Amino acid sequence: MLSDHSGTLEEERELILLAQRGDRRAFEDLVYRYDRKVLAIAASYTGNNLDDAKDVYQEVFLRVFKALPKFRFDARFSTWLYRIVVNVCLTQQRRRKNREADSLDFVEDEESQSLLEKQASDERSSDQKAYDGEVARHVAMAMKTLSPQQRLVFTLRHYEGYKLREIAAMMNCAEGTVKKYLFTATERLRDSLKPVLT
Amino acid sequence: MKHSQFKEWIPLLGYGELDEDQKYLLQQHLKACPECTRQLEELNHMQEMLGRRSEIPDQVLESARRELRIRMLSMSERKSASWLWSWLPAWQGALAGALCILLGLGIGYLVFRGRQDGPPGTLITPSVPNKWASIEDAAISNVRFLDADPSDGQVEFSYEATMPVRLKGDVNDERIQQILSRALVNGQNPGTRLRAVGVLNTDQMKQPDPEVKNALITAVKLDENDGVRKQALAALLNFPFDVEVRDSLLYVLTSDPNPALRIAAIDAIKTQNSRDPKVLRVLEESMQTDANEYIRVRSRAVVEEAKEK
Repeated sequence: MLSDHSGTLEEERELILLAQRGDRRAFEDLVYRYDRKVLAIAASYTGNNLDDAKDVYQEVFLRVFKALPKFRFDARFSTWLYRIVVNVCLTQQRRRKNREADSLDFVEDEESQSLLEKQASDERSSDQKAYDGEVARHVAMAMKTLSPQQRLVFTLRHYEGYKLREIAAMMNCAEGTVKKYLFTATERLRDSLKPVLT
Repeated sequence: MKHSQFKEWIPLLGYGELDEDQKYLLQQHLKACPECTRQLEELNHMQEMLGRRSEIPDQVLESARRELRIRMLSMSERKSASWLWSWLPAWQGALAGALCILLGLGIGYLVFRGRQDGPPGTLITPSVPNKWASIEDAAISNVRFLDADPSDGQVEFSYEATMPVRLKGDVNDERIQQILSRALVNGQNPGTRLRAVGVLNTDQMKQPDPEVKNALITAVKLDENDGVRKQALAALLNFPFDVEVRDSLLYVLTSDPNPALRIAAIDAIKTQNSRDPKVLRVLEESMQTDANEYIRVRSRAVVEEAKEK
């Protein structure tokens, strides 16, 4: 069992100051406070492709590691961190496209598939499993039709439960823009999923 | 209000993002608009179908943490190296190069001399003469393409190259300790990690390298194997009871899923007779919340004993 470390903001501030002075253990403790959440966002965003999610995780925390000495407490650390997560997710899409030719389709990746299938209980009938598999495939395909921004907003709202104003702060844009992304995303998903919705 | 505006509100209703007035207006509209009602039903159905997010398995998080630790380590090493080069003025580059060659010859002498008379840390497997030879001899795995398009004449990929190396030497040899520490943190096989931590737990080790302590703390906190965590905890107790050791014990007490390890942590804390407020706070929490009755009783006894003093 790996736990997520919780703690007060003062403890966090102390960890940041230590990490800024090069204390690697403090940096790790800081990472462990947030990394499960970061990995969860990355996994939702990448359609449960754990390889891609782990790439996002690495990129996020390496950027944090490099940029932390310049962090001046102008914003909360979590806000600053989630902005990095958002930026990495949005640019990850571009990097992934560059190597897409060699990677498996994000629904067909073995590890992703196993995670998707894990959601379905073993006790279900084979018909139910086949149906669930079909739905998962459609959902993954539908998510691929979204732009990176739409997918990110939808992921953060639907899967991670963030409020739209929080997402706006993370993405550094107006709440109205986030609403537009969410609306367009749900419309597109509804269109793509029509065959299995009826 | 326009029909199109209500349509935009429908997803927001499902996510609880409308205020009371907007909700009321939309509900009034829905009563009179079959198209929007159908859209709402479809969205509700779609939300059920999309499901909730899956939990991240512990082993996935653990492997991501390990990889990050390794990448940070190599980044720090690269940073130190580049700092050294940037610090040198250009005219000293040649001198530095010559020094590096001399240093390399010195290291080579020490390593290869070891093949004849067998001092601590003897490298038995012949050292690799050049980097291409190492690729020929190594097992290549985990090839991941970053750029597989050869149209511009360039490709980019990462891979792991491994080759067997035999090393024999004193457990106090710094290099041996460092390799064992890395085996403990990065080894894939729990049996290997268990053996590594067993060696690191020996009382033959007089002056452990700082990396040993870091590796033990990492294993205590993160290793997925109960046996490895238990051995690592035992080895860690050979070190002086400082803040790092204390925090590791408290971490085990609050977070380890195995009651035997939590009991070992309490026993270790007890032997320190600590009245440290942080220790007492964690013990008090444990005596209230731990799922194991024995641990709750034991924590209470240690707290009471500390308070009596």
